[in-house]
Amino acid sequence: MSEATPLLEVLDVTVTYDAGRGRRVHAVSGASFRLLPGEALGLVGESGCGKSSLARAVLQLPPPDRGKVRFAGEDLGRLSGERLRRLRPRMQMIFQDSLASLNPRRKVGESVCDPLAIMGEGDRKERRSRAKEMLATVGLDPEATFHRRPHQLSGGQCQRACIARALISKPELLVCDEPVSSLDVSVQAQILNLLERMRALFKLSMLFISHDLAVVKNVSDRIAVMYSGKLREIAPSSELYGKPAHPYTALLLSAVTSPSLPSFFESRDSESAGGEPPSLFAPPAGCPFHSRCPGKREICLEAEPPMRVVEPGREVACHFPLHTKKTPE
Amino acid sequence: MDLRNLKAPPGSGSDPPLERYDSGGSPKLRIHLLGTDTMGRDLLSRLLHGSRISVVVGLASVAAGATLGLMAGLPAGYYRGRFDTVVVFAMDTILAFPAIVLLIGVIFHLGPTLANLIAVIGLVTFPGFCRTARANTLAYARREFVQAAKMMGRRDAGILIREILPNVFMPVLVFALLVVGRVIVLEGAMSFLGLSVPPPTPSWGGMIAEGREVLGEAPHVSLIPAFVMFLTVYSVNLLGDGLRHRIYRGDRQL
Amino acid sequence: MKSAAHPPLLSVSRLSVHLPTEEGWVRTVDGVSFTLDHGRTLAVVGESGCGKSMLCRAIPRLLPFRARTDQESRILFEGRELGVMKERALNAIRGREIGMIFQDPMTSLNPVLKVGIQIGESLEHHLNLGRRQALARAAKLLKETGVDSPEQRMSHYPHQLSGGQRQRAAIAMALACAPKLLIADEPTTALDVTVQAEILRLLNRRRVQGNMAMIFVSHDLSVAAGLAHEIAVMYAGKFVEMAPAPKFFERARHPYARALLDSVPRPRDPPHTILKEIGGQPPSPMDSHPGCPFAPRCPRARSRCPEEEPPLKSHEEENHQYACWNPVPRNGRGS
Repeated sequence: MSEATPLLEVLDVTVTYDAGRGRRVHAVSGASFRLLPGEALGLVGESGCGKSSLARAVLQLPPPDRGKVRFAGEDLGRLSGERLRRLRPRMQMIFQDSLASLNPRRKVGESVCDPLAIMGEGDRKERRSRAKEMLATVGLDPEATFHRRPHQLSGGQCQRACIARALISKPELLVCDEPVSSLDVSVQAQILNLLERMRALFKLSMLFISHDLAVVKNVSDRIAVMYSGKLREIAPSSELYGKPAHPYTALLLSAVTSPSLPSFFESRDSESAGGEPPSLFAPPAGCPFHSRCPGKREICLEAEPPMRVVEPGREVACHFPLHTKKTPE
Repeated sequence: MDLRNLKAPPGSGSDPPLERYDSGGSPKLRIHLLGTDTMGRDLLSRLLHGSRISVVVGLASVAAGATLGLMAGLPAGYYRGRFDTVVVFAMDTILAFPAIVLLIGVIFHLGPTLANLIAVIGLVTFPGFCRTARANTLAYARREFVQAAKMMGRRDAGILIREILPNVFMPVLVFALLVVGRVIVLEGAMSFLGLSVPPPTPSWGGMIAEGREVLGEAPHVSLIPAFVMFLTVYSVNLLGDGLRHRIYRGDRQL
Repeated sequence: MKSAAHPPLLSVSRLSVHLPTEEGWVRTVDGVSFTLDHGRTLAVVGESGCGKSMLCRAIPRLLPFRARTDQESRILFEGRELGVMKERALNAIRGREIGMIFQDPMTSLNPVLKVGIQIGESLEHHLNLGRRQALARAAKLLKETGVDSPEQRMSHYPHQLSGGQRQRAAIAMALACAPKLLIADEPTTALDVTVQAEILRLLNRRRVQGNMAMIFVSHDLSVAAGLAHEIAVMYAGKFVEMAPAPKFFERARHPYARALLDSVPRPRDPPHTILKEIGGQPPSPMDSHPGCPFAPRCPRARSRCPEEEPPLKSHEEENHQYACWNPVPRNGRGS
């Protein structure tokens, strides 16, 4: 991989929430990764693992408790309110619930105009025509869709409108938080293809969050796996699939069935690592996955494994990663 | 669906209302469609003029209460924190007083003028509006479109006014229509007690009060204004219901 | 899939469900017919609006108040016609012989009752167990579904459990009286992948142990792949293809079924592969027009398709049925 300047650098970010009665939820702990220009990084993990919190912290909404986020070289945490606001058109986000992402009281077309209106670009006529252009680019009928209200559109159409709105300001970074999870399978394929076309057209860098491994692999160059608020593995997509290094990744892969693979009942029982992630209130000592890990040793209960580069382009946080040169003693 | 109460526009007839006495010696024939009150004044024209008071007080105090409620409720629901605590405290304090008691106390002290009446009734309606505004703001502020607005770089003020207010406005409007009905009754109670605008200005409550003495012989003097008040409040409520159906049907098509 | 000796456990014939809406009556299930033997699993696959949830509710006669079925619809459970049974008789069957799991466990679990009591309820009612016995059995059931510390969980309320635990409790409830037929409407859709895998394993285990038949509804083909003997694809209220699972995945003939299979991202494909799309969107039950319901979106549509509706029937092979005038060729792929 060329040593280009990363577009996005996330360094040791920690996000906590106040859960009442003096307790804090550690949604994200010490996450670090980078994103190169034009690259798509997938962020995968199950519910509650912190992937959405991490994405929002990257966009400073709200800013993380600790750690640094650098976008295009600028430390976002250090910027004044106004400077940060000016930077916003360059990093946009689309959400899982596309219907809720649009103001129910406004016409869809006007919502798409919003990013331009807020930044004071162009006059009303120009904004409208750019919005209509964008609607057509994402596959919607501009004249018909512009004047509709969100509840009159289907799920897929809403998501297309949200994509139009996100891209109208020509951002460099697009964060997608489970954008297809609540869509039907046939519509899912349409939206994934649309995102792919937009990525090429706008030369976007993407941070794509999903719990669906197959979808993430389709979209991403590299994939980061998250568990209990911490990043556990980052690797190029094909390698992650073929040779997962972290036991949790292996567990995720084994739980995914696919019509092209044989029925998983024949081969799976060995991988059953039943259980749930540890509480996020008081993260236990040692590796957070140790209670479910078939390969655990003593050190796993005591010391938390740091993220280490095990091969060029691959990082894992495990004392005994699989499939790599560092095998268990 | 919507019942329109057929009311003569306020200000019909002469202004101020002329007292027509059946004084002896006047040969002119008067037609009293609804009869007369204890002093021989035409009920119908008094009703029409009295409606002015009810309508003015109803609309003005509700407008005042709603505006205050929005101004307090929106930021309270959006920012939470200390401002929210103060607002909730104010709401609870006002709510602690039964409306009538508060009204009687204040009006007795300050004097029964239209302005005072509007101000105090407005204050009494404030907690309801504030609660409606705040609750709706809490619900909408959490939705993704607010996050999306922040992501586009909208400032907080812009979000409150352009994103949240248009959504909160409708529920508040529906609530306002229901409150108008209640305020009309409240004003009626105040004028019944003689604490609203003083006579000879007619008001429905006052007319009801006047008819008390002759309830046995001429019940129409009290009952007709009471019935008119009932009709007005009822139709306003229906209006509110109809409006609620219209807007929530749109919202529910998910 | 008929075994020669036994009659089928469930036989559904020409089932149609009509719902009144503001725009008039709408047919959400349209002439569905199939049979299910003891111990077999039928997966019904389809997208939103295809009618699969109504189909699930129609079988144990749990339709919404104003829904209606056709005169000619027949639902035969163990030879008995459910359509004409009185409510009392139906209640004896529901929970006892037919169990049901819904997608959202928060709606099948009563939020104000403790979990243990809810599971025990059907034991008390159907098997006439005393309260203490029922609770003991309920704890055992909960343990079998893989919930940790089952005795403690028994006295929790639904909101105190995680999504996976709640669904397991709902499963325990559905399986409490060892029903002969389990109807599961998207039971794992809202759950994490690892939890989903465990629950599917659990369901399969119980199926084998109790010779229990299962109707498993899902929009996720890969889940169906792991579990089903037979797959039925539903579109616009109709079954458009029905085949044994291995055959289905190898050689789906209906263009919609084939397109569904092709549109799912495959793990072995490299990143940035463009997926095969189906144009348009799933039809709403409101739009009904003559001819094949998939014709407007079908890449293989011919002139006959929008005019005449193709019947669901076997063609070359006895147990592989599909409804199409121009099916995907046996050896080829897609259009």
